[in-house]
Amino acid sequence: MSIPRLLFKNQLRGYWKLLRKGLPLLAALLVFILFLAGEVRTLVTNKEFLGAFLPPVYAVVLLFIAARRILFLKYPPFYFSLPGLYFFLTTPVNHRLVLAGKILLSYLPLLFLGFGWSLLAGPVQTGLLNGAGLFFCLAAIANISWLLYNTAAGRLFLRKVLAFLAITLLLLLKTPGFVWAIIAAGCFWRAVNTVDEINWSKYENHCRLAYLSRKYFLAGDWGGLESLTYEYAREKRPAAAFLSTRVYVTGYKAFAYGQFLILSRYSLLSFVVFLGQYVFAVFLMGRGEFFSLTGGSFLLLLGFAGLFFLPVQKLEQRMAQGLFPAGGFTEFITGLLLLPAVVAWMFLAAIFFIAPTGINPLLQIAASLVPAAILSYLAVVRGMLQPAFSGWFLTGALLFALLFSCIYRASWWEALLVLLLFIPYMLISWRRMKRIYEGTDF
Amino acid sequence: MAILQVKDLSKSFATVHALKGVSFTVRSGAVVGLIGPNGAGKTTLIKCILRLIRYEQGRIFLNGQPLSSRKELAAQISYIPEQPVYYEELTVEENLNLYAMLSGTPRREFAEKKAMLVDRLDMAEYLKKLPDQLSKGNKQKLMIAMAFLKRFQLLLADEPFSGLDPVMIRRLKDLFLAVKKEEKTVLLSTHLLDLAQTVCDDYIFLDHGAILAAGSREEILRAAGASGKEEFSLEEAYLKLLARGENP
Repeated sequence: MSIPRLLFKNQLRGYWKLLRKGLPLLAALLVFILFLAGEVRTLVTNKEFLGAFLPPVYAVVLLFIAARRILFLKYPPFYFSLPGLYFFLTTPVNHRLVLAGKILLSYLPLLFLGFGWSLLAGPVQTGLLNGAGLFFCLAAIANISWLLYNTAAGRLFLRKVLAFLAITLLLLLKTPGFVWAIIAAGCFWRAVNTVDEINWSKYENHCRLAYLSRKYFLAGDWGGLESLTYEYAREKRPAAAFLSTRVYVTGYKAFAYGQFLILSRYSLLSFVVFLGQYVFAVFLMGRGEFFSLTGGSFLLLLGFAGLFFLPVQKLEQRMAQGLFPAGGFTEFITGLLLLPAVVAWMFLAAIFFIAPTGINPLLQIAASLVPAAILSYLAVVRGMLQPAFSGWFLTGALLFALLFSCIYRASWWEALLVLLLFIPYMLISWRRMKRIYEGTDF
Repeated sequence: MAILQVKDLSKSFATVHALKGVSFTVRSGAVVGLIGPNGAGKTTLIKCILRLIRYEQGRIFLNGQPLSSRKELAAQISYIPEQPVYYEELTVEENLNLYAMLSGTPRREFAEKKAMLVDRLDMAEYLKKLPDQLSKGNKQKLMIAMAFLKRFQLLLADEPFSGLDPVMIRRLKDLFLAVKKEEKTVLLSTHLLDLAQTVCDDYIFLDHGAILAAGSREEILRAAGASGKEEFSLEEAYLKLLARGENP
């Protein structure tokens, strides 16, 4: 079998796997894209609106892409698979030719974007770039991004700023598509001829991230995906060694302290994402309708569990590898519930001040202690009972959403009823987690 | 004749000096052990030779010539990486075929080498399986087979014994010795000195990014302070050199 056929076979099997595993997600994505395309189509047929509004938005979007790809450059514009990179680097293939092919293949999405936009916008152009112009502009940005990605750190910042300013100027001057095509071709030529100057160690690291993300996604391994995100986000933040070496605690406090250490090494982005989810959840709850309340509570739980489940999952993974921590299950669960429960109570209590309900807030704050405990318990459930979005977690999440929306509306009897429903759920999940902890869950 | 010369090679990662002015020569047709504890800089050094890592200072010569293009480099050097890398959706046999084709190994030579490697590494029963279905040791065998399918002058093996059982370790050592007979060179990175001693002609002892000693067994013993040949073993010499490196 020839080289292209073997590579094609590998791709085909990969796509088949993707299709089998991610069919619902792909279908949802397709529906979303079609919906979006329909909306855009409606917008662009409104010529008056388009004439006044779209050109500046269009330029801003392109500048945003340029800023992300050039000024705040972090990742390469295209990736090799990890085996692809290894085979490419360790065999005497024509490296220029392979790289050229890889760059050209990476243009495919840009081609769809450029001409897709052209198709949608129809006769009404934005006055800036047509489909081909947009394609060449994006290709030029991608090529410049690749050249800068491989530039030595010393001269990088100045080059990034200069490149971004040049692109801004070209966009402001409404440069025609053929100029972008010349720039794209020049940068392509330069990229292909500097294959020996590529920063392979950095590139390999980023290819590993992209490759493993895809691999975990295809395997439905959400835990693996989140661990990978954590690993790469942590790279930038050196571990605060003084925290782990100056404190010595045992029993449930050791679990709580371990959890605190892991949380202290989260990236800032993790907390920003959580706060974003919290703010949006509170906004939804403030609308007061039943669905907004339940949806807001559900979102709140997702954000909270997303923040606190990782320490639990890391412990669970280590136990699966043969590390059995000293201490019983009660110590384990107490230790892991402590910190999230306190944090959850603070955040739940704050909701009654941010979006007041007119009911005695002190009573609601006191009553929030129960959902706060449940919230932290569900974070443990999410970490212990895989997969991450299992029936266990989703059932608990639904019960929590109902419970907290009842407390928010001060429907005490309904809240009590939901709480009663929660008891069997907790008993069963507790026993299951205990079996996992003790290594008897076969 | 020297196949590989490394002169004054330095590489830093942020505040860590991974390699500090490393210089050594590898003679052609020898199995050379690159020995050092975990974190000594062995993998970094190998990746510098492969030009997978940019180094700040120093020069590397292959057959007396400075490293030029990647194609030239890949044509002369074969590499067994520390972690197995393969196409997951291709079977073991398909991975071997693809690697050999990309390496430009002639068809007849490939068939002969493949038959020999499959036999020696006991790979026949899982040729049609996907690599992900294999144990760690069997994945490692795939990487070894891929590296040996290629024509090379210098083989860089990064912890190649990892995950292998004693029988396979013995067979891999035999493969290294066969390479030596063909006047080709192996640079074998490992922290297992007892294993290295059974196959290596020369040694490069590395610790904290610096070379403690390099040369034949006798030269290493002399560097460690031995006056007679049997005064102490290579292992003792290694420990003495490590201790000296930590308390110069």
